[in-house]
Amino acid sequence: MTVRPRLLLVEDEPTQQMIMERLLSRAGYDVETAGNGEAALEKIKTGRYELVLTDWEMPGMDGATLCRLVRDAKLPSIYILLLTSHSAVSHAVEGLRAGANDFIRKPADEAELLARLDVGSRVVLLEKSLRDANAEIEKLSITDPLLGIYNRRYLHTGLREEIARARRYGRPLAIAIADLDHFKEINDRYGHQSGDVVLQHFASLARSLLRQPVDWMARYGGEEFVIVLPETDAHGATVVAEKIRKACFETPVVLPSGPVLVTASFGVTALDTCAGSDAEGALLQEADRAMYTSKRSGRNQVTCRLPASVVHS
Amino acid sequence: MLQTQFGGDAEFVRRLCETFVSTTAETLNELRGAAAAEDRSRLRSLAHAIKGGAYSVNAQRVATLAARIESGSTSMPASQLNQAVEALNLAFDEVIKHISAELG
Repeated sequence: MTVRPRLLLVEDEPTQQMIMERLLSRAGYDVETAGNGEAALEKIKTGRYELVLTDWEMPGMDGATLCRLVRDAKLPSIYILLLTSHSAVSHAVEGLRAGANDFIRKPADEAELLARLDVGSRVVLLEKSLRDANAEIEKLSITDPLLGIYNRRYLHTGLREEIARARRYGRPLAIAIADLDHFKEINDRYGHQSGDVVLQHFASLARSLLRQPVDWMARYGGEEFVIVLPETDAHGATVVAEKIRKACFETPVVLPSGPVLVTASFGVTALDTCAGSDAEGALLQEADRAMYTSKRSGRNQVTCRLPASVVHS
Repeated sequence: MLQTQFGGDAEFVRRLCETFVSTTAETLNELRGAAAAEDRSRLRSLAHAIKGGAYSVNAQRVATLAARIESGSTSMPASQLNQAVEALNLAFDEVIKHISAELG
């Protein structure tokens, strides 16, 4: 069965409203009614309607004014069919210029009215599929396809926003960079498919230990991840990183050849240690340096890098 | 005839006629008031509403008279408007009788 958009019927005359509502319901529309322009505008602003069939001549706010106000409100796509008893072309033009998508003269022929509403339904469904496709493309453009977490592209945008928010409200912000230890050897020894499984295992494990949806993580490079921790200071971030490190160390990855223990090295830093205009670059650089300290110190550990000190855990 | 138009849906036709009678009676009252006050803009809007309702139940004479008031609301002399309102009133009474006989 054809999916019909939700329709708002705006008609002040009660008998005409009854007849139209009956006709539209029988044609499969999910119909709600409003008896005047003011009530209609309130209902339309809820965003529940995709199709509006409105009479022009109504006491108070007329149909053309309703069209104008709906367009002024910059609501997502709404298809408006205006009913008018005037036959002059100038009247139709006025209605279309006011924001109606189409008009039909009263008394409307039922078959024509339904055909015009079908056109409106097609337009509404096409626009909706276009919006959905755009949203999907947008989502794909910021998601790592293998791991389902944010990609490097989003990391820069998202981190800049977090920094701006933290600075505006004077709130803490910390990040951790995690790099899987000896990942190249895993790829060389077990193959790239197993390498992918290891990456998925780590991403899933780390995500499960973050506060949803406040904390988030992105794939920074091949086996490198950035974990962003708003409302968290360096100490709190070290605790989170340590929790993930420990879980990783204690949870072997099950590969076709058997279980494999994978560890990760972490570098932690916080926003207040990185003053200056390029706070994003400074944060990533500090965390990266801390992570390399972890690597140099034997891997499978967390290093927090503050301006005057380096702390291992 | 209405029954045929609405596929023999007697219950819907009954509700439709009852709605027409109660709504139009009320609007006619307001129309008389607007005519007496020579509120021509209001007169036009009320006549338009009566016309729409009358078309819904195929009350052609009521619709025609209401249309005449609507279109003449700005130009008709007051005496002519009052006559048209009276004629509309009588036509509506006829419709009520007809509807009562039909619905039983």
